[in-house]
Amino acid sequence: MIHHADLHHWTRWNVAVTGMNARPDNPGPGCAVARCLREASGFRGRIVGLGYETLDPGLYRRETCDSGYLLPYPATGAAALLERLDEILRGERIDALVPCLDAELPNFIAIESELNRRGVQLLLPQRRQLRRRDKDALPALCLEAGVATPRVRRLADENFFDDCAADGWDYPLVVKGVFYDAYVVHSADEARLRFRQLAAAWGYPILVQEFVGGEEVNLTALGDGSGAMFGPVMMKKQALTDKGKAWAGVAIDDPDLLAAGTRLFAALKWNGPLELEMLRDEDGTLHLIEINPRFPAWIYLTHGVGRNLPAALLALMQGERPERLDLAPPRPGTTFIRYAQEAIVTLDDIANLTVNGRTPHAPAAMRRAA
Amino acid sequence: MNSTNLQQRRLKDIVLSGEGHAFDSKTGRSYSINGTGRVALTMLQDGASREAVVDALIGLCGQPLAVVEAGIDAFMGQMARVAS
Repeated sequence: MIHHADLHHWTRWNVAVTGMNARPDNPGPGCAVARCLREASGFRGRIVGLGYETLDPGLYRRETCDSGYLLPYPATGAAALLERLDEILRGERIDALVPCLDAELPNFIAIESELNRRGVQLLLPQRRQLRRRDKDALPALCLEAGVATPRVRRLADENFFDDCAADGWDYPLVVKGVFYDAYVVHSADEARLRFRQLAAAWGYPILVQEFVGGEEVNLTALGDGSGAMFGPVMMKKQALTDKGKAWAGVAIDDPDLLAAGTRLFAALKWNGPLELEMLRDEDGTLHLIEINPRFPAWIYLTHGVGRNLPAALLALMQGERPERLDLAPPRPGTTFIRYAQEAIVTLDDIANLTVNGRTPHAPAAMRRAA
Repeated sequence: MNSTNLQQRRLKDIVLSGEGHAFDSKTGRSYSINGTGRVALTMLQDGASREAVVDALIGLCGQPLAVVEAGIDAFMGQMARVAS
């Protein structure tokens, strides 16, 4: 325990975590990442929540974050993000930052070295690695890794859906946004509707993917850029929200999924956290559906099975050798059941975040600066 | 049907509780198994043959050979499906 007394040890770090949105049907991973860190053995650091909306509940919950701040939307670019983080850093020390949303990754990659110079550690993929796991790049990646994946195509025009059967694209199909959301559609009319919804929400391109039926299994793990995979935790979804997100799930130990994960990590040489979403069809074949470049919203299960991956991420950031990470053997059968709670927020708290972009429990230096 | 059809490795994936809850750690599926099935599954996981399981169950249940054989074949067929 002597090394825990070291103020520079990761258990004493102030850690900023994004993705504090937590709509029950599709929560961001930030609250779960923060919870993992809170419950990590020996963790005594502060957790700084970073969000985009005044109704992101994780920003207000002291159980989740010691302080909370609003960030500019990812579309405003990397310079605006750095400017805002500099503002926050003037009042609050941040030793590490864990981005938890797909759309913000390019901006954080762009300012990673600037943040490093300010003493903020990150473990991020390179831009090229990020592109290789784009939804429309999966067939090429899977060919290299020897993993099955359905055909996917970029669309800029909804007329595709009228004649797609002639090109071998039979319904049902899956229509996807470039970052988020996916809908199974059974007709051209339905496809057009979803196409417009996704374009309005996330912009172009829209993607269409062949539908694969089966059971969804997921894997989350860490990479260090060498091609190795560390701390894999596998989960089968047991209950879904309307958006297809896990409402309940059980830890599994699937050698086929593990082997596919190992090959994909090796092909990507991934650096940082990652989630694989795969479907097992009736024949038992696993099909890669998506790769998320971050921790998933169900990451708290990793703490539940003795493999607290957010804590392991901080240890890796500090330079811990991967084989020395504190990772228990997998514990299949451990189940999570998600539930929704109401966070009570005072008018003052809402006003503070709206006007000043920070919660009232930010450090005194930050309050004076405002 | 014999225990090799079931693949010993897949049988080992099934975690059996004393209360009759069986969890397939590969697929995440759960099942209920009665007392007779628990005996049969435990023996199969240990590598016992169909004949050995039938002999054990005749001694345990006091049922005629044909009844036990039919029961164990049906059970092994079910296991082959869920653990395929």
